[in-house]
Amino acid sequence: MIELINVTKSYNGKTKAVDNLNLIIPDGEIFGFLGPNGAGKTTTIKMITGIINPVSGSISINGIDIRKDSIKAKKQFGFVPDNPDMFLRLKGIEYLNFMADIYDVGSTERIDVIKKLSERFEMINALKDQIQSYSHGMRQKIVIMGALMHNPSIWILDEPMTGLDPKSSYILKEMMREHADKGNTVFFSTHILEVAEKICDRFAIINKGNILFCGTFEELKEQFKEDKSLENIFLEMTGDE
Amino acid sequence: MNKYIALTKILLKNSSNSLNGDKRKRTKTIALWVVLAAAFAPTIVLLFKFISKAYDVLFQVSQQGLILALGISFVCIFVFFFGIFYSQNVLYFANDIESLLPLPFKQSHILGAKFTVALFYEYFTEAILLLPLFIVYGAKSNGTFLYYFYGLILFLILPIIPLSIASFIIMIIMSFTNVGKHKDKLKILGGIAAMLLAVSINIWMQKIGMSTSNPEEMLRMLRSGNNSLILVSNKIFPGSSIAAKALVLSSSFQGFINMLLFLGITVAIILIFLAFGEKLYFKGVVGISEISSKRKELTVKELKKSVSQNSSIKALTIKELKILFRTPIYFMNCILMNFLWPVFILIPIFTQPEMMNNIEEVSILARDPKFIGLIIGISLAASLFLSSSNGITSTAISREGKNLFIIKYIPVSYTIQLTAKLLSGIIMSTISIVMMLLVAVILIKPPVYLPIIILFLSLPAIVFISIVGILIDLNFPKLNWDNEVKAVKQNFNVVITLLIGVIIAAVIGFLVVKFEDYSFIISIALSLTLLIIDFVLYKFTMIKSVDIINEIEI
Repeated sequence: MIELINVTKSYNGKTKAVDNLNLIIPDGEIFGFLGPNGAGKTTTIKMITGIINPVSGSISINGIDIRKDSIKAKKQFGFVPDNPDMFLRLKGIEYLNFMADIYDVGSTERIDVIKKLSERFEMINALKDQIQSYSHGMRQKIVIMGALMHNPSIWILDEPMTGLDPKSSYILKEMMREHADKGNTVFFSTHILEVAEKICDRFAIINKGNILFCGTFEELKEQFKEDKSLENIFLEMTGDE
Repeated sequence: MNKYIALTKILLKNSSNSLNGDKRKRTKTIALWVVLAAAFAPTIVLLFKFISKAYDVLFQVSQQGLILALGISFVCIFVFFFGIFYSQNVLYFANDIESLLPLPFKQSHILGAKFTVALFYEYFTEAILLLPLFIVYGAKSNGTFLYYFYGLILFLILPIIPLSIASFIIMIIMSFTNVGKHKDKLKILGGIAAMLLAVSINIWMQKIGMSTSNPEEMLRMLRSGNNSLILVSNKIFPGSSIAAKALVLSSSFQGFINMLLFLGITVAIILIFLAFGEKLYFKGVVGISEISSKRKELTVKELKKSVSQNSSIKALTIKELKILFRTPIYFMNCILMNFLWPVFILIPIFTQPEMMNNIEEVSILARDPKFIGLIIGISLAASLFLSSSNGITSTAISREGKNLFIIKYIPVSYTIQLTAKLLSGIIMSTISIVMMLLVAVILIKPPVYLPIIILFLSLPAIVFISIVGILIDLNFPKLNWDNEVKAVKQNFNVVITLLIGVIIAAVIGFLVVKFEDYSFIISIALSLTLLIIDFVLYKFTMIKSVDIINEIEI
């Protein structure tokens, strides 16, 4: 479970990137985080993962405060950042081994996870090569694999589908579903509405640092009382008028 | 031409490390420079005094022009030598080239623009090495307007010739290494080859200079007065006497002719360089970032072999070293230097056999108990200097760049992460010193205990300068870069750490030489003092780092 209570973040003391945000992401759900470019999605995710600090408010992950007990809180989640260009000079296998060391994963355990994930993402042929030689989609896959090495209960994924081919994207969605169904939490941001509509149990729409809506798709439609597509509703809500 | 100017402007803007940003950071940066300026003020005053004294002495035999001639030729050789390093970084290894290739530029446009950016950095070198000479000479000789005018032009065009030659050599080497499957490894080999070539050319040029300068002829030249010694500078770097003559004779027509001649040569060299570049540059650049990959299946057996559990500090240190070794720019700037120092020492010995005799003398001294303290003390100073020169810890944070956020979300305390970074620097510096000691053991054959004592006493010095480096980089990290050159080469944290290393090494050296009789005790005392300072400084850095890293938001 992820809890954000009255979280505010401003840059230069003026521009509010996130304004008094309250959000509870319960266990057992795939939770989508939607919004136009620059709405505050990545800022929120960065605060949840401890990369930046909010000006005020508190954030806890599985009940552990990210600022007060940061190391313990950070072990609760696996995080996939929006840009997978990292550790490019390491070989795929070295990167996975590194992540396993960082998250204290035992030797036998990590072999199982690497085998399972690399088969599923069809990465077994790439693990001996440097990540630098990977395509964008392969980099995305290796970062996802790294984030899942320690079998975290919470997944935090920033635009995880970007660059993935249809098959990998399908597999990831399938994995997200399985993970949530086991009673875990999946929190991901996207601006692809169809993805959100299809796989999210619930979602929030954020614009200019404020949550405009939080609930299920049915609730959203009810609120608008019209038979509009999610796209139209989204455009209407985040439009300037 | 327009395209060249536009591209140069963009590249310069992109690489400038401007002072805007938030106020606190600015004050911090300015404060650092003030402290550094204050620390160096006495040295600068001393330097000016020394130059004007030299002028007076040479003036008596009317050879004062030698000051300018030596300054100019020294700058040329310096720019040439470091240009080999620098131009391969900027022209080839910088990954912004990938985004320039699809744009409709001619080869010479990109080459010219990148060359200009490199040239701008050489002006910093000149400001330190040449400007004081220009100023003192101008003031002492009551320089006319023309003197200062020529001086300005020379200042601007002087690095062009050596930098062109350096870039030309690199261009040829890189067009050969950019082939086949293992480009990434070949590139690094090419870089090493270029450096060795630079060292050999340097020595070769000096050798020529030596062989032609027999004492009698020198004396004759000296006696004839009339600034005839200016010609000697040609032996350091060909052509530099023309530039020196232009300045020395600036008030006469001869000065004008020399100025014109030097300008002409410079323009000709630029044109030749660009013409070759138009044919050669892309040969070495296209596909430069390709990495060899096998796409071979990792078998279960291999998987089991390659997977092993490590503590997070070990994992982080290994990761740090792997990245340093595998990223060509980091390898060239941070790693290679550690292995190159012994080579610098060995090459002149192999090329000049008569040096062997000197070594034998040193060897006898090393076995004399009287000098042991002195040798240990000087070695301590040298280790401190060597460790300050590799720039590993002083760019440890900067190298993370925009990926610094990774430090913040992985569940490892900043203390451990920073310690791993420190360790990577300490390990490489220690290797560097062990290499030097090995060379010394082979050449000088000192008593066995001597290198061991030196290594142990040097460790606190290595640790000390490594912590200083990371402390500086923590406070002034350069994170906003788009190619790795900016993180390690165009990063003042390296220079500052090096300067601090030089100053402290000088202080240690001074103390040991001044109190020679007690040098053994002083060396041990200094090493112990550094050990205590290390402990305090480490604690301080770790406490400070938490807030500093928390505040960096990227």
